[in-house]
Amino acid sequence: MAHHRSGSNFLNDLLQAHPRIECINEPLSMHTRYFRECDLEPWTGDDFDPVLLHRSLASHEILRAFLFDFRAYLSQSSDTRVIGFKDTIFFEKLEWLKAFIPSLKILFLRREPRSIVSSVLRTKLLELWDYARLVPPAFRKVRPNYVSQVDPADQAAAAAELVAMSIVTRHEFARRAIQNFDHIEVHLDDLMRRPGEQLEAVAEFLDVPPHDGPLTFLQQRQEMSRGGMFSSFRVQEDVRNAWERHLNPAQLQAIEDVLRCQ
Amino acid sequence: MPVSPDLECDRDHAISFVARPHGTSRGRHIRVARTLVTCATAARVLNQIGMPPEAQSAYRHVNVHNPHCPLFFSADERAWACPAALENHPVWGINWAGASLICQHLGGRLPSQQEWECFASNNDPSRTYPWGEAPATHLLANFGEHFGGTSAVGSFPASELGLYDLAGNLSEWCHDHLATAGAQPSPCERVVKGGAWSKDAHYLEIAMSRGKWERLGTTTIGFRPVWDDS
Repeated sequence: MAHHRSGSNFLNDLLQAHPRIECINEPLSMHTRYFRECDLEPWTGDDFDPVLLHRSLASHEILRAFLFDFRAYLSQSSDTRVIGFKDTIFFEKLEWLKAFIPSLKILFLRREPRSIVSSVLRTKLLELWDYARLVPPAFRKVRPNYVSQVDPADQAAAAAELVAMSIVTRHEFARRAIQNFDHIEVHLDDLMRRPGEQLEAVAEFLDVPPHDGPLTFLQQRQEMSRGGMFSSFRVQEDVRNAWERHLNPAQLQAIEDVLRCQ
Repeated sequence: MPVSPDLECDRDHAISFVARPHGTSRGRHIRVARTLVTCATAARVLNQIGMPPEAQSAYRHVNVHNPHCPLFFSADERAWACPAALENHPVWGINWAGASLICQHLGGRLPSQQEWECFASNNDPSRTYPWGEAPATHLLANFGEHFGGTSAVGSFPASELGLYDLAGNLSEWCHDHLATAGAQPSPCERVVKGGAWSKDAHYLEIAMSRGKWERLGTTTIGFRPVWDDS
């Protein structure tokens, strides 16, 4: 689980470099449209229904079949092969997810917020994820005291503020529910700076023996930057410090204001 | 730009081949499509089948929910289509059932894992890559994010049999369920072979197999039909 543009494609590929790990990519957000449309709408454990799964899914027969198959697919996970998935949504539906798939463990990937904001803005994902419609109302619920200082005419700062709100909102939802799961937090910077130590912790968490595949993968992918928007071939400099080149002072101030608000 | 007529994905342009697993003398006579099924071919077949649009919140065959999916259902034309620039690119976003359906309409089927390994190696089980033992490079195959996405079929050298993209561009659905040592075949996973544009070089090795959840139409899996030859 990770916020958009936190390096989750990279981690997904990295995990799959281990011969005992299979990790499918965004089954909920890129193989249905439903969960993008109701992103940030909280579902609780009490909302889980063993037949309908959730009352809002009553008329979505194919989606329910997909979700039941999804659970059956994940349940093949065993001592010899760990099967999981990566996604960038469901922070606010974790309680429901726990009721649906009780055995799920969560690896929560985090990244420096300014890097996330910078990357989301550069990859023009605001529209795809409908941030303008979905994020402000959800953010107001987790940070009701926030008062924006952003000049309404400064669209760049407003966009940065919006992404920072998304980060705070999703991470707050995660903080409230993640203790229901066996979980681990991994920071992308730590993974790049101290890969051996981090990969060992991940292997222990997933109960697989250490393997040199992920470390080799990580080293190869950091040799050069190439490929498309979602490529995981990136030198460290392009991952860690790109925000310094791309965010202006007003954007940085907006991000800081959002992050500091309690 | 339409694909070269020689590369049309149909039985008439397919390569005749005798699959001889493990060097057996009696082989299975098949024809193998020279290329992966392209976006243009997939759209044409879906229209011939009369495939309705994927109107539900989850899809049956075509992952229209990925915003980059090359296939879309044009409401104006009431037909499946793809961007002109991608007509010659191999189609992705089609799950195993959709791939099987399209192959069936073309009069063929998906290859078995064993057949795939036979035609990728030209019946040489010792061969590492479709071209032999030389290490993979971006001149031989589309892999490792060298190109950032799929490339038009026929962009890289063909195998000695005349088959394209056996390594890289897109992985290929096979018919078989994934079987792992000491375990029952997975009922919901199918074998994929051949590596893809974003995958590392070792996925290009002929012996490399992965199991993928058959419900998903992903960005890295395509397919190539074969036809039984009597």
